[in-house]
Amino acid sequence: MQQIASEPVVTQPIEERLELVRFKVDKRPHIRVNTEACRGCDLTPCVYVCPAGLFEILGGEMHFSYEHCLECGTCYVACERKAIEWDYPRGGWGVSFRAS
Amino acid sequence: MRIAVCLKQAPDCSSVYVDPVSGEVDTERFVQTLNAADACALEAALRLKEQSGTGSVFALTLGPGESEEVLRVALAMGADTIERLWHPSAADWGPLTIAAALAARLRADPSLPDLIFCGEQSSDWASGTVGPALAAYLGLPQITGVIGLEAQQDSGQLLLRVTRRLERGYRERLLARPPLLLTVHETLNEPRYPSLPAHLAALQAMITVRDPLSLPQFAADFEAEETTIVEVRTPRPRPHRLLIPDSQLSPFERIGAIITGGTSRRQARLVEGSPEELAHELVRFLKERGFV
Amino acid sequence: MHAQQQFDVIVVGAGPAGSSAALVLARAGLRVALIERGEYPGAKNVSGAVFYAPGLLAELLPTFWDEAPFERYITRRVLTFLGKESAFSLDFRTRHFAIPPYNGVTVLRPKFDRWLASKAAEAGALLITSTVVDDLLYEGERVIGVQCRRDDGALYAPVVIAADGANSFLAKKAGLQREFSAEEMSLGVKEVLRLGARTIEERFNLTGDEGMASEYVGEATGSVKGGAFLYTNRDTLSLGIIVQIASLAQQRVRPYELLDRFKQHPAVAPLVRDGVTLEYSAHMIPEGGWQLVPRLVRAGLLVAGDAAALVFAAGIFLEGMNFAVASGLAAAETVLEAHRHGDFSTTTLTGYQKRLEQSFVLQDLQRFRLTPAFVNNERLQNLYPELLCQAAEQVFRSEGRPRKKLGSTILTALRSKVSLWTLLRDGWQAGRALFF
Ligand SMILES: Cc1cc2nc3c(=O)[nH]c(=O)nc-3n(C[C@H](O)[C@H](O)[C@H](O)COP(=O)(O)OP(=O)(O)OC[C@H]3O[C@@H](n4cnc5c(N)ncnc54)[C@H](O)[C@@H]3O)c2cc1C
Ligand code: SF4
Ligand code: SF4
Repeated sequence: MQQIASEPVVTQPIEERLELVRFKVDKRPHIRVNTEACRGCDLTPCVYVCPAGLFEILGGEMHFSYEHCLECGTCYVACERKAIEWDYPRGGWGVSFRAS
Repeated sequence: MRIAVCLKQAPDCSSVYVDPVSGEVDTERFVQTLNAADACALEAALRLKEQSGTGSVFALTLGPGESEEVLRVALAMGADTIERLWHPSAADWGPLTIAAALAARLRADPSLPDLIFCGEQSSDWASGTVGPALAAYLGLPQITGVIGLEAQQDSGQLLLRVTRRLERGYRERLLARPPLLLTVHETLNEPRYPSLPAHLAALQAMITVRDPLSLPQFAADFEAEETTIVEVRTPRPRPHRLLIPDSQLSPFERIGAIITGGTSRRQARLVEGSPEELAHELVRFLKERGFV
Repeated sequence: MHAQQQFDVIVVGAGPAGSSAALVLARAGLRVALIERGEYPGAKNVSGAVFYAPGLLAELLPTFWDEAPFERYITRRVLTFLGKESAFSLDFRTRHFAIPPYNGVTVLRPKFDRWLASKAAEAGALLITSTVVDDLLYEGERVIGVQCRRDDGALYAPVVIAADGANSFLAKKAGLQREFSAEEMSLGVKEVLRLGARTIEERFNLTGDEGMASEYVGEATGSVKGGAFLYTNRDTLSLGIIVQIASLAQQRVRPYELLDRFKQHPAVAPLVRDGVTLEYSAHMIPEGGWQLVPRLVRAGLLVAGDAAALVFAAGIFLEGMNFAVASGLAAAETVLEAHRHGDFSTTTLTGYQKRLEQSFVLQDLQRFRLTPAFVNNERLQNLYPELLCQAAEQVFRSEGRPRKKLGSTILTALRSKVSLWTLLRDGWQAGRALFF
């Protein structure tokens, strides 16, 4: 069967999407990544599963920022090496959805 | 020492969304909270009270029923008494009328408080008028834009060492004695996170409501109102070169790094000499900068 | 201990499970603390969201239909098999769903949860927002309260209902729930798009307050296991994908890219055209089904809603809010009974488990316990939807040549991709998972 070439998918940068979300950012991070443990992690699932795109490998190092975290918990479920220390932010802080 | 703090419920900055095309603000998405600068004003008042070991903090707001939330926050943080002023017509009041109402309420007590704290400006209109107008109505001296505050006892009297913020990064240090009104910038301190018992008590507290129009000293000049909004648009800041800070730092530290690392202190040079030398120096300077 | 810190029951989490429980308990005259970590109830919560069987709540709240902030009642349900370039839909609509108590209504959680919690507060529950519960407090084996993350954060009650949602930390700390694996948890990401009520009604063939709930399988999530949904609110659309976390990690695609891909599928793009995105959100869903349901009680503790993995996720079904409400109500009744007897032992609280076994909550979960594995079958996820679309195309294609008959068209398409044996086995499993 003849395949019709798909239109390339243009995706909106995640940062732009996160601008629509309200965050009350606490000074204390609620998630800590043991970046030592990440060194030998080949598949780096956290990079792909995080819906806020907060995990990034730059120059072989794991970089993580907690400020735009949607508090879903996906990262700690996906990380098999248990490198993610995960907690909720302080009550009243963190993400607040308004329209979902 | 009696301290009064004027508070306002305002949309939290991070909840304000401006449509990039129409420039309109989507009010439906607001999350109303205690205005950030007001929270710092309250924190400053509480710290002064605690430091002096005596005294009371009175938290006052003018706003509809929903704004009782901010009084509950104040109570949980440690305010001794709270009160809300409201009249349906107040929804349309500008900053001057609001200040007049607050002044009338504070005058209704036998004596004025020793210190009055306000936030420097609110996150919504940021007119920065209510505090100064309140000081004017009460005939009190005032210091605006407070970013540093220390109290000390000076021959049995309270002496405040105040740092205030001026334009373009300048600072001014002042010594002041009560009675006085201070408007506080939202970087002054970090408001406390109330304990559970205080939070519970505040959630269940009864809140006194007064009609400002019934206050004997309320003399608002409704005609003098005041601000007309001609146009609203998003600011287009001039581009600056920024230092890129380390991504491991917390946002606050990163912003700090940007603020301090991206700009340097303005340099002034005083040139002395004969008029001729000065003229030469000036021409050289202008050439160097490419002006001539 | 301060009298102020002593309650008859503590409910953790003001989602549908917690607020419904608190409502019933407060009505019965108990001193109830309803603790929520968000700055308002709903601040942390995300659903599609169709709230099925709203009658459950309407029975408790006579003013439900006048007051509850629901968006539209669902009269039209669509199931779409997406191929790469094509789509095959089953479209069902009925006026029978247009009569209160409706079969399902769309809601937006920040509004809906706030309202429901306010009803519990009106009934007398003390709603404590902006407060995280970090742990349970014990006396011997018995749970006697919770520790909140604030100074002097202990609160006491003879019984605690943990309705703290999908992460289920309290049940884990209490030794009732185990750690999750990435195979049994799903991630939902969602956008709310503003379109305007008129456009929605015209585009989706709706009148008045009618609404549509539409689910997609197949190419909706590319090669990642999962599905997509599109629901109509009053003047916005809720649109999102729900994907298995393990599969997402294996395929190495980012969820928001999948969402964009779904939005740009030729069968979806025209439906969302000109929609202005208002918000982006994400949440986990315990989709492991029956297997994931933990022990539900221990002395002084009951677990309800998502925290107990009481989610009915079987392919085209995603029901969690109604399960949360029903389990919250059952937990509340059990607590009332325990208070009548002054006995909060495991034996008394096991009445909760019995109540759930008698209701749709555990019956549906048990009956459809094979479904999660079945719907995550690779062929069902991708191959069959594509083949269905191809077969449909063969049927509808008119090329001026003699056509084959339908049966042989489908069979040829199928046989080229899977063996007859696999096909029979999948058919058998489909039967076991959904029909008998
Ligand atoms: C994308 C998506 C789409 C969905 N679509 C549907 C649908 O269409 N229909 C449907 O019926 N279901 C749907 N669901 C499932 C549904 O959202 C859940 O099943 C439902 O929300 C469960 O309710 P709950 O009260 O158990 O938990 P939640 O709604 O998660 O509530 C838990 C509450 O507890 C609070 N909390 C958690 N931990 C603490 C703590 N330690 N201290 C204090 N407070 C705490 C949270 O802030 C939250 O408010 C969907 C889910 C997702 C993610
Ligand atoms: S999955 Fe875990 S170990 Fe691997 S990179 Fe991410 S955080 Fe590190
Ligand atoms: S909790 Fe969710 S949003 Fe936050 S970092 Fe983990 S995966 Fe990303």
